[in-house]
Amino acid sequence: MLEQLGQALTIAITAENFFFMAIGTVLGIVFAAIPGLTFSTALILFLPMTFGITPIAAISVMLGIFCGGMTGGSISAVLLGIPGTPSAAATVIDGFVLAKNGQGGKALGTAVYASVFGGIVSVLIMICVAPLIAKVALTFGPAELFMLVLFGLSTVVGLSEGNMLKALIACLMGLLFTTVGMDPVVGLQRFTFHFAPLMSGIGIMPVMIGAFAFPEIINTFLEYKKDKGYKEKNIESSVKAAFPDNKEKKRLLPLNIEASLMGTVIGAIPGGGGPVAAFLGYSLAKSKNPRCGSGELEGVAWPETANNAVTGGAMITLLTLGIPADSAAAIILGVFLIHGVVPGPMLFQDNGPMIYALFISMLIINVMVLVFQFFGMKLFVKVLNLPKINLLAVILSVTVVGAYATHVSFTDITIMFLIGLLAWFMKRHQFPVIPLILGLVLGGEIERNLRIALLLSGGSLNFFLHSVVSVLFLALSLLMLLSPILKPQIARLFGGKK
Amino acid sequence: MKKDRIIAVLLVLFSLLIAYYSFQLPASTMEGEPGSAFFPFILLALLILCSVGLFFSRPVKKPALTEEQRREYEDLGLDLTDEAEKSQAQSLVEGLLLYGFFFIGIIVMYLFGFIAGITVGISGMLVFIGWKVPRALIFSLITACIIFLIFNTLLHVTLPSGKLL
Repeated sequence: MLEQLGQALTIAITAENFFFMAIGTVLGIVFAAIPGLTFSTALILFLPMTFGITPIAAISVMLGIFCGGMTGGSISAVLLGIPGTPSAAATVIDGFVLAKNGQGGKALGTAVYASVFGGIVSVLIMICVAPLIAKVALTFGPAELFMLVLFGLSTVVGLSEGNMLKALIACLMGLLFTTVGMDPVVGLQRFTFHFAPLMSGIGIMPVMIGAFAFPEIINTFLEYKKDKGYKEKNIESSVKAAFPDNKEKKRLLPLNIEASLMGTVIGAIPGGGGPVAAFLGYSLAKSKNPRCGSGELEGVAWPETANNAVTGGAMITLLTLGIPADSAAAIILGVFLIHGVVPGPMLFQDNGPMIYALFISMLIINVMVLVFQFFGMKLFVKVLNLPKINLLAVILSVTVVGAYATHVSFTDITIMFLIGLLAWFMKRHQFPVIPLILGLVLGGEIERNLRIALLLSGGSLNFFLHSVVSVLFLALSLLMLLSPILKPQIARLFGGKK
Repeated sequence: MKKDRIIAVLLVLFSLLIAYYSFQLPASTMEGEPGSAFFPFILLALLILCSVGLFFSRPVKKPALTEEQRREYEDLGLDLTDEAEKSQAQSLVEGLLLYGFFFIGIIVMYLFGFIAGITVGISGMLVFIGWKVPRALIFSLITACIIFLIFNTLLHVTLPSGKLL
């Protein structure tokens, strides 16, 4: 392990890697600070720029955007009362009150401090836990892998907002898209209608770009038209971030540790994500300090620690199992695949130094987040005053680059457009988009493992019940899918007993 | 909800269409291997089930207005149901028009290349939301040229060059 660590240090600590980590961190903070843009847009936007750089630099810039983005949302949450990203929604509650009471700087500084605390703790947990999980995952056969991916998808569906039936439909559509192209087992063409560009299937990148970027851009354009060119609020850029003092840090320490652990676990669960962690963190903060909601530092520190801890958790699942736990991890998975690196347990065996280099990069990125966001606060606040429509028009143009550049195929631009239109309709009718994306990302894996398992067992479905792991994941999947029916029953049962 | 029922019917029709094409896929010759059509059939069956479920799912009932709220709306001369529906229909048409402008840009891009396509598509969208034509054209052209310079020239990322050029 020491030898691998030594090699990892030589990979991670290079001028190129530092440069791209810094670029990613700043981009993540900037995009997350502007409400409506989100760091997922930054991830999508920067994707085509990773084609010409080394895999480690490409993944590092994406991690920079991810970690920086989780923290950057607190800027507009505190100063505008509008979360820059969904993960910062809980920060608004106390952060905005603190800002109105003239303590905006303290709120911003506490948010940065808490975020970096959560980020670093989650990376340390990842370093300890990921190799162990990868070792266990190496023993998984096709039946276990099929059940694992099924569990991942059922969790995403089960934890989706709103109607679970609509989430399931979205997931099934995503899985159906993966059946276009070459059959993963026997190599036959399916649903290509003799159209050559479809032989390589429907690409993940154009679908992700279309699904994430287009609906937000179109809706913002429509709002602009409806309000006849609203004047965006100008924020005073003289606010200066201030860290909590030693007494406050001591008071927040046990809560920060608890929130970090909770955030890491939630981040590792497919469908968990920043918003879930942040709101759970906030409700725990409120239970410990009932004055939360009227401008308490706990109300800022807890959600920010929890949502940043999600980054390490999400990377645990992605690196060890190859399963993206949320949309950002799905985009990062895309970058891995573009650069010929397949995340999963084999990656730890075949490319250990690279894994450790990523761990080191994440630690460095968290330090960069602290330095950039704290000392560059005035610049980031100025970013909030940039005209959003202009930015979105530029983003729309760059999405075309992102879609085209992967396979240099115009078909991908058309797919991006059609998926963008579909995603917009889906959002209008309350169909969640994340299950569609994850269905597309994991569909190939799930079909291949299912069919190989059936081939090995001679067509018998009992093969899936032969191993404890397989049965466990099946049971968990059923539990997640039946949760809307079970939850009220359990609540009634315990409520009745009281 | 009526819209959910329409979506459910469309999904069932879509599933049946894909199922028809799936029947045309050849069966597997390997023992135990279910073949290329197996996975699509499972997904389509589940999709039809979910669509039927969606068709028969009960809509969420909106809470009834209180007497005070009803008087307030009457004073303002607002018929909330009509307003919301008109606004939804209008935003649907406007959204489709925005997509339409972008689609025109894609066609121009296919024929004349990246810069032309982006200029036409983006400027059309900006004019539609209220920008003046010269401002929209200049902004779109500058944006397209800068992006072309950064990606094509500096980063060597290939961009659409246009079939007619």
